[in-house]
Amino acid sequence: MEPVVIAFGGGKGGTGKSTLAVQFSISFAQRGFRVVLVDADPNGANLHTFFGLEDPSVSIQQMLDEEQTSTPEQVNALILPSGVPQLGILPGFRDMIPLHFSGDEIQDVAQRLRLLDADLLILDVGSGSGRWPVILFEDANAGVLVSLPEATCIERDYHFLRHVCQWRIHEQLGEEKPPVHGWLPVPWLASVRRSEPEKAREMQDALRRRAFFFLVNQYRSPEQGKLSGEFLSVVRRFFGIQGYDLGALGYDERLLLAIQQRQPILLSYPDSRWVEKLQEISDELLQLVQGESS
Amino acid sequence: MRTPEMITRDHHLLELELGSSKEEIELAYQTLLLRYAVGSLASYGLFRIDERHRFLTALEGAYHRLTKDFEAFQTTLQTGLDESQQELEISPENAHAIEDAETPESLVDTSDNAGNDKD
Repeated sequence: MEPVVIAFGGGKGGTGKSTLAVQFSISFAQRGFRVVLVDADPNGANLHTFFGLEDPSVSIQQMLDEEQTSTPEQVNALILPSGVPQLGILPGFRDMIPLHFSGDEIQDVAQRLRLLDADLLILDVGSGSGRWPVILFEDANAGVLVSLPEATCIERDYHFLRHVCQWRIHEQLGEEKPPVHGWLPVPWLASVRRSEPEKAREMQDALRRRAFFFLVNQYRSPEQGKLSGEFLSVVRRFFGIQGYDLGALGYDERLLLAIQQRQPILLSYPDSRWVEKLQEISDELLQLVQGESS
Repeated sequence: MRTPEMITRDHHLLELELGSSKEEIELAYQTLLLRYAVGSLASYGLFRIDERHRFLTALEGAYHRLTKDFEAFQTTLQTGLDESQQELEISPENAHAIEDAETPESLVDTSDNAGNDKD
């Protein structure tokens, strides 16, 4: 049986995607799932450091070689133990990054990752709106968009979602992609509908194909904690895609302390409010993902 | 003259169901105004400056039109009520008839035809 894939992505770097991918992986492993954490961030690979693994001998880079990773044995040989029971890790890129990869090539990599022997694959796809993060985010069973309550972040998230919409339309209809700068899918569809109503309907279906998950990280005020609801209302109206509100995680200095100690906060401060909230979100995410996958 | 399409479009603009109350119109407008205002975090970087201005103007227009519609409806309703009330007012001519009708005798039909329907 193929693993369920959950991808963590977002428009901007520094939002805590990697940290959250690590914490959720541990949380899922603690519940008894066999989890593999995949460091697929082409620009800032360092998930191994969270587990105190220095200079790992294998990396996701090897997944780019189709001949060397076409069987489950070959792929599973790349997994290192993380030190946490039930959790393995596939470390990230060391030098070559797959910026030149086509959509088909990226989807092939995603398909080979599903050969991994696990219940859950947690992917940190990195930040930005390039082909690599967008396609891996979309190819997963669930994509979690991690953001901060900051204007710079929200702006990049909209840019990321424009690329997600483009990809959905392109993948479903093989259409040439609409221009992305300042593009708002719903008003654009309204203009397509006037001349080609059937095509507009298919595009709308493509956009609605699946929901993404939205999680605000490091909020510091109650107003910031409510950002996700507002953001998702805007997305529904102007992008025509559904987003599921996973809520918000507050700022907690113990998270920084844990990173400095190179210990996941779930292990070093398991009784903190932050961990309690993460476990709640983890429960919800699992239920939703399992519901969709079945 | 406002067509049903215009009214529906204004409701859509404010993300309202048709038949919303005045309070709902007000709340929807205030919520959207905050969500899409210049500097709003939730919609930061969504629009170009001119697009945002156009959108806010459209929201404001829809709000004013729906509020006016609502007020006009209230006025029509009030006028209708007033007219009905006037019709119900007792004129000197029919005052006797009403008085007669209210006498205990009028409650019992004493005519020859009384009870015919029952036979």
